[in-house]
Amino acid sequence: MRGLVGFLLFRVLSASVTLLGLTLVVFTAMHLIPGDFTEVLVPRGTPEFRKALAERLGLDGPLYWQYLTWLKNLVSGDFGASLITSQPVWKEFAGRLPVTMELAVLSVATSIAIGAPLGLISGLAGTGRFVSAISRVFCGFTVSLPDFFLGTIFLYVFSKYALGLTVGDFVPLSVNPEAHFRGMALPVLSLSLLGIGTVAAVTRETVFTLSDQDYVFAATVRGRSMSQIVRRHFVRNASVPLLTVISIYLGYLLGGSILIEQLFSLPGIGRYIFQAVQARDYPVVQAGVVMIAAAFVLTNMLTDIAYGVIDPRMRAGHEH
Amino acid sequence: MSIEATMKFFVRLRRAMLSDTVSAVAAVVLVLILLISIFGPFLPIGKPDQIGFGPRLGGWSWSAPMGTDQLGRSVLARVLQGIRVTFVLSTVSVAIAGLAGALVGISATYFHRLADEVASRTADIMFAFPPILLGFLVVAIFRPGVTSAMAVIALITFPTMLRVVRASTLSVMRRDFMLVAEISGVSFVDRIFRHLLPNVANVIVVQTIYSISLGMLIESSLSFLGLGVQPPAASLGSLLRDGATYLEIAPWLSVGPGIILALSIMSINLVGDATRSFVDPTYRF
Amino acid sequence: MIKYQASSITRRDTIKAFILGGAAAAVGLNAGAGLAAGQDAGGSIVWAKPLESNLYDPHTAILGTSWELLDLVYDGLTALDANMKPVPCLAESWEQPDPSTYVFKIRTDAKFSNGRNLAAEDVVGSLKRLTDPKTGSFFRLQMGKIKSISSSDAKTVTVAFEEPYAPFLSSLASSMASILPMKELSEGTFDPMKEMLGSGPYKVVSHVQDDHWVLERNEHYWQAGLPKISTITVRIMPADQSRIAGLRDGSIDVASFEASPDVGLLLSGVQGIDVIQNPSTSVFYLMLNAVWDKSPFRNKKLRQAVALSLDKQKMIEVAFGGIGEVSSVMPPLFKACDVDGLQFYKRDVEKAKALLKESGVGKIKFRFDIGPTTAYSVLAQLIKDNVAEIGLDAEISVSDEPSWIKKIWVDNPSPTDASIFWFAGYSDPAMVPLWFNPQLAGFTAGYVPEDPELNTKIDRARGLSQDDPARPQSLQSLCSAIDEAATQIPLVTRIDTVAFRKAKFAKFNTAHLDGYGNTLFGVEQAELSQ
Repeated sequence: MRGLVGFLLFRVLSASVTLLGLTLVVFTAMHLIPGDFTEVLVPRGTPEFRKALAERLGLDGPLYWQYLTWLKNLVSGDFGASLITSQPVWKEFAGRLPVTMELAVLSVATSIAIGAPLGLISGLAGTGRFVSAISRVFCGFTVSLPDFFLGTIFLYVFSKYALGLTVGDFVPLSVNPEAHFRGMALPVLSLSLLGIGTVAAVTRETVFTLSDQDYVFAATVRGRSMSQIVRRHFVRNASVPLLTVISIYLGYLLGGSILIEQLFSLPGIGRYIFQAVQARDYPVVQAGVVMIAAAFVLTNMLTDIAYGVIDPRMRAGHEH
Repeated sequence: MSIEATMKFFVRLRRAMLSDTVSAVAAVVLVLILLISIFGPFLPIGKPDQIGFGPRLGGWSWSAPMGTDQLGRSVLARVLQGIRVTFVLSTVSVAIAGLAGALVGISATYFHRLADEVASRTADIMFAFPPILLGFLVVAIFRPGVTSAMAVIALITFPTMLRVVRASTLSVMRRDFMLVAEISGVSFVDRIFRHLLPNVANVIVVQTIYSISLGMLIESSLSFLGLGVQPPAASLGSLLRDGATYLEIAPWLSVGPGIILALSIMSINLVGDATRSFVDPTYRF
Repeated sequence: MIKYQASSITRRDTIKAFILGGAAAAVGLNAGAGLAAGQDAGGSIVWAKPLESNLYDPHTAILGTSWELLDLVYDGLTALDANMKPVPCLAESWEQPDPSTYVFKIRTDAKFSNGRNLAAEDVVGSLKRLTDPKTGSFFRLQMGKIKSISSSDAKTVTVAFEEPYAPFLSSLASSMASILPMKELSEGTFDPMKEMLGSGPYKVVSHVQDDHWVLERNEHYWQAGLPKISTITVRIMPADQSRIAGLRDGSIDVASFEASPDVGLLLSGVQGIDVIQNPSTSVFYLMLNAVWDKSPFRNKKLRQAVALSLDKQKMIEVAFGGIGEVSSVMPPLFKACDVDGLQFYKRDVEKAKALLKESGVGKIKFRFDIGPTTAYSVLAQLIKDNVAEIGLDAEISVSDEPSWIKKIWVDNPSPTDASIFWFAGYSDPAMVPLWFNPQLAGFTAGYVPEDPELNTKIDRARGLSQDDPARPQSLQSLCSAIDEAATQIPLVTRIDTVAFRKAKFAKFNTAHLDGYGNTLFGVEQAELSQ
């Protein structure tokens, strides 16, 4: 039990160190980019005017001081206000986070729903066979096609021909659920392609590993059908590797859907942060990156802890 | 690995790869794409930046087999340049990331717990940073272009490299022969180079291959946002970006580069799978 | 007063590409004609534009992407009609007792969208705020050398100048000269940097940054019965292909395009839309840095050689699908500058080579820093090709917008050799030349060197009233001087594209000349079909 507590403490501590380091990196990076907010806002204004503006927005002190102030506020839950809209940053994100989260969750769900059966089928078909070759090429293809390219093609095809799904017309779920999902389908599909291939490949591998196990062989000897075996052993065995890839994929989706959000005009956080970088809206970018990273670190940490709890041997790797 | 051992490794790898149809086809496709792009400049298809080589947005012709773009440049010439740029960019930056990852990974793991912690946390920070934003920030801080794009690819692929190397170094170090070597007084340098490195090299090679395909994806995303190579130079990503707008009236601008990009990445991945199954017998496809 | 008449629109006629939308449009037109513009019967439209507006304060707003939104919310003393002639707006009339004095009668029945009546103090306060150096408005100098702004009664505002200033009424029509609610501003209940509150046709009801704005009819708008459309949803959609897709599938009614190359061609495949590409006074410029000590372009002959190497006609054909005109610093619409009299205007590669030789600079490589816009990228590649003919090598570098703006307009000297940008041409030929006086303009000082002789010409042209017989000659001489300086070399006019779904509108008269990037010009008159 002491080992488990120590392991948990260690994970939480290292996650906090990671996030602290990240705040420093994102703050420094944002302030290193040429063109600060006042220059972007009034490029033809006088230097005096810009100075007054900087004072008003709290952008005038030395950088380390600005960083510490920001950090202090961040720890106490104050994310600051957007320099452009003057709205609290949390409020700006509150409306957008659900869109990106939904995009991520739906993409993961789609990936599992399509990828896992595919992987299972091709895994059961065995290696070196035609089915295996097909599935390898398919998995290879899905993880190789850039999502923005697929999105571009969707954008054209689905706007040209009325195929039931809409492009770039985001309708909130609360307004009209049907229209909402018709608008989300294509972005989700563009983003899921990578996930489908990854999940299928991992599932396939697991099936192979599984068929190597003695107990599976024994079960076969006992006359159990393959489907029974899969039902009995697969879920338990596949959960760990699947959990790993899905946690990484989820993290990727939280920060990686910028291009898709842009292409399909979805009001998610990726597009918002990306635009904020270009407007030098420091509080928004900083809070956004920290938020995405925190979600990412948290997912990883939970996954790690899940491993650690399931399998005590896994803890050793972290403690040497 | 000595040169001789390396040669042997690749000879056996080639044999293994050719014994599997999918891997063999992937390897052949990859080699073909690379060969065509290398010899591209010697083909009579126009220079990639020759404005007005053909009509604007012209379709198929003998001199421009893949049509011409919005400035009347030969799309084929640009695609070939794009493949070269994308491949070289990705390979060089992944090589840098791989080297750095291996060095940091091995030394940090080997030397001190603190060094290991620092390296791991740094990798975590980079890993947690949303990749496209990281790319944008790096490019905006320095100036956009080939160097920045390479730095971005290296930065994004580095943490994974480091983690993989670290994990396998840890597992190798626990093996008996490392202990034996240490007890029997084998020098530190020899232990690293003769015992540790050969045993983690396989993992590094596999990870490098996968990272190159990831690097190509990163490059194309960056260029799609206009942050990659600078005009008039082309990369597969910048071609996709320029072509995306013209999808309806001139699909040849983006479909060709898109397919070639996907095909290249896929071939690299399949070759990576084959290599992996070769060095790690428990992995099968 | 202003010399071009309604006929000037036919000179370079509105370029309209009609794509046959079939019977639907015709039916729509007829049905719409009978519709009375009731309080809420106006309906709503979705307008997609590429860039978000980050500047809400009209007095300091510098980008066209902000103006097009501000124009819907704010009004000025004057407005421009479809031929860019100043017409009454918040000022119902004006007179000039002498060439240096304007007396405006204010429309006191006009109201801000909060219901408060416009007062002379709002006008006086707004103009004072705009021209106060502390406000930091780049447009301050376009207001001329104002001596005093005062109101003698609740309806009368007098503006007195130190010397006659011809473009004043035109300047007043710009978004930058909007009238703000000064009472609320001074009481602190209104902050123009954070919100919009004007007396224009629409008011802002909600906004999600980088995603959309919802504008609703200003119930207190001074023009009775207008605006007819009750709601405008403004959607920010950066990718051209996304806006085109939206037009195609009907989720967008109006889409604007920021001078994207070939947009007309791309839109030709979309059924049932009208494409408008109105002539404009906005012009693209090639900037050659004549100030920075590391820039090769401090050499005037080298700059002139570059100017002569440019193939501007090809820029129009290749970069803009044939839309636009080659321009001097005074766009063709103004008919103020005879380009045949310019020495460095027409392409002449041989002369360029000779000048390059004379300059003694040799075949150099220079850095060409541009912003992240497709139009800039295409223009830059064509210019690279042009200068390569005389042996110069341009190394193109695309930065993100703020870094680039800092480089050319904030840093002094600008740490770059060359760049491309565009200036709105406003509505008088004497306005833009001000940007060639680095001292006065300020933001161009990083690359335009001080030139007393040119400054005198600029001052003189701006001082002569529109009907002064000496004005044409003065403008021509200014135009030549700017051509010769070759610091900011005018290239071609910049034409925005607006596309709208025909079936949606019963009336959408957007044929107009443009000087201030007013994308939805006349939208308050637009009517939807039923």
